[in-house]
Amino acid sequence: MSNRTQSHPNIKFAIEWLEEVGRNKNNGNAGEALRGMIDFLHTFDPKDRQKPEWDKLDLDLYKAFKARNSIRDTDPLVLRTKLDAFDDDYIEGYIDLWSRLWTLLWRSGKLYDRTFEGIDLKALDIEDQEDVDVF
Amino acid sequence: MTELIGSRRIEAVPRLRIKWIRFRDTIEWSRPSHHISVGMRDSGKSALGEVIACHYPQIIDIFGSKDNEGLAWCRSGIDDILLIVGDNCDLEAPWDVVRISDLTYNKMKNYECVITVPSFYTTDNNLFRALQHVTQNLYKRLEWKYPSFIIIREAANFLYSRISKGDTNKDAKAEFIRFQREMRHFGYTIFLDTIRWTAVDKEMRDLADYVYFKDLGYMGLGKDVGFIYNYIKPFSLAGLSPKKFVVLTRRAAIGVGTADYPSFHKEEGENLLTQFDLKPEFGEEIQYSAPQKVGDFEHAEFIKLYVEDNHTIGEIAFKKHRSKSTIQGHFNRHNNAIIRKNYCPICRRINSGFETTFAKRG
Repeated sequence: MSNRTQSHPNIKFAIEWLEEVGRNKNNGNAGEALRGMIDFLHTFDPKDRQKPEWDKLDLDLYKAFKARNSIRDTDPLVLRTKLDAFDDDYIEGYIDLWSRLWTLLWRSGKLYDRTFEGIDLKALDIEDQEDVDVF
Repeated sequence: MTELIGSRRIEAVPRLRIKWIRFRDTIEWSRPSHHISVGMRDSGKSALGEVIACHYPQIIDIFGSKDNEGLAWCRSGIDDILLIVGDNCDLEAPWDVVRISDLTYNKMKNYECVITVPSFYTTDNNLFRALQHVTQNLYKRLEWKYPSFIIIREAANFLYSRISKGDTNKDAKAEFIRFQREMRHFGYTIFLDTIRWTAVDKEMRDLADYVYFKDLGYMGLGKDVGFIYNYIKPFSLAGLSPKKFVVLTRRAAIGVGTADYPSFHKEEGENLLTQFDLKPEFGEEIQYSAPQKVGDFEHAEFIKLYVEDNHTIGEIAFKKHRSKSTIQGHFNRHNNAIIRKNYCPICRRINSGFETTFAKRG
């Protein structure tokens, strides 16, 4: 990772956040596996975001990420079967972490990509979006 | 069992919906925080403040605009309301009313909603003096479990309240920054709205835990927050619907969101005084103390110290930092008025209870 990338507040924030989650005992196995993610982040170059080095990652993390991808279009029952191989909390933790991490990396990378078009907030129907937090 | 915030049912509270687009964050209602809302006129800044306020058990709405917007809380379903009025104001209302000089922290701490509006004062000076008095009382909240909420709709009112006390513009701003920083320690969440991002000093902006950008019109984002354009198309922030906003948090998260419209919010052109049948009646103007001038309350205090507490004139002079002749002069004036008119007009004005009591011993 270049110095510029490493010192970027988003990446610094990502590493801090992951370390914090990793320290939290309630995250169980997911916390342990975070070491892999942190290593990955340290070698991550946003410009290469199309080609993540999956082989460097822990195999379980990869599977969890695939499971996260399946969630979008898969019938819940099928998904359940896929996930049965894993402990529930473990997989839920991964899915959540991967979801966050991937968004984070993509967004961070985007800062270096001037061709990115921002969201048209006027046209966006926020209430129809997935993953909306209600306060 | 129904969960309550103050007397309000938690499920009836208007909501914010946020889709995070960079990092993920949360709004911590249980900790004192600082919110700033930026947007043009009619962009829904105040309404957003009211939505956020609804998540707190106590709401203090004192720094409002001349159109008495704060009175809208009276139709929000909250009954436990304290209205603060000027010292020469008589107000018949279905809610509790207290004159500003009688206001103490203990009196206001148990009310769910504390409101004062400019129409309860005869002059701007009196309003600013009142705001100053309330602010001082806010600092007395040394013990708290859940944050209270202060909505500052017109930041200028705070500054003028300081300037009217004799502070310079610079002192007033410094005090405002201190107020915003300190209030966290006394368990208050602050919401501040502003039309221009740069109208609020950088020191104040840097205190914010959450910044909401509403319809920014042609002004656009300030330079230091221009990076948000990496995430949101610039022109989509002009002419944005009043319920939508972009939020930037202290932890650098960015979200886009919508806020429910609070049903009780004051509509444009609406006169809330008429709606609640509030008819403030004003007596003679109260005179307040100044270094070279004894005010009405101080006059009454001289009489009380002399008649009830049996202090000598010398002791009163020492205690109040006035000369003996000033105090003697006030006793003469008080006694002469009772002889001539059967009452002391100063004591009557502030309802001190000594209007027919001579300032003499034995």
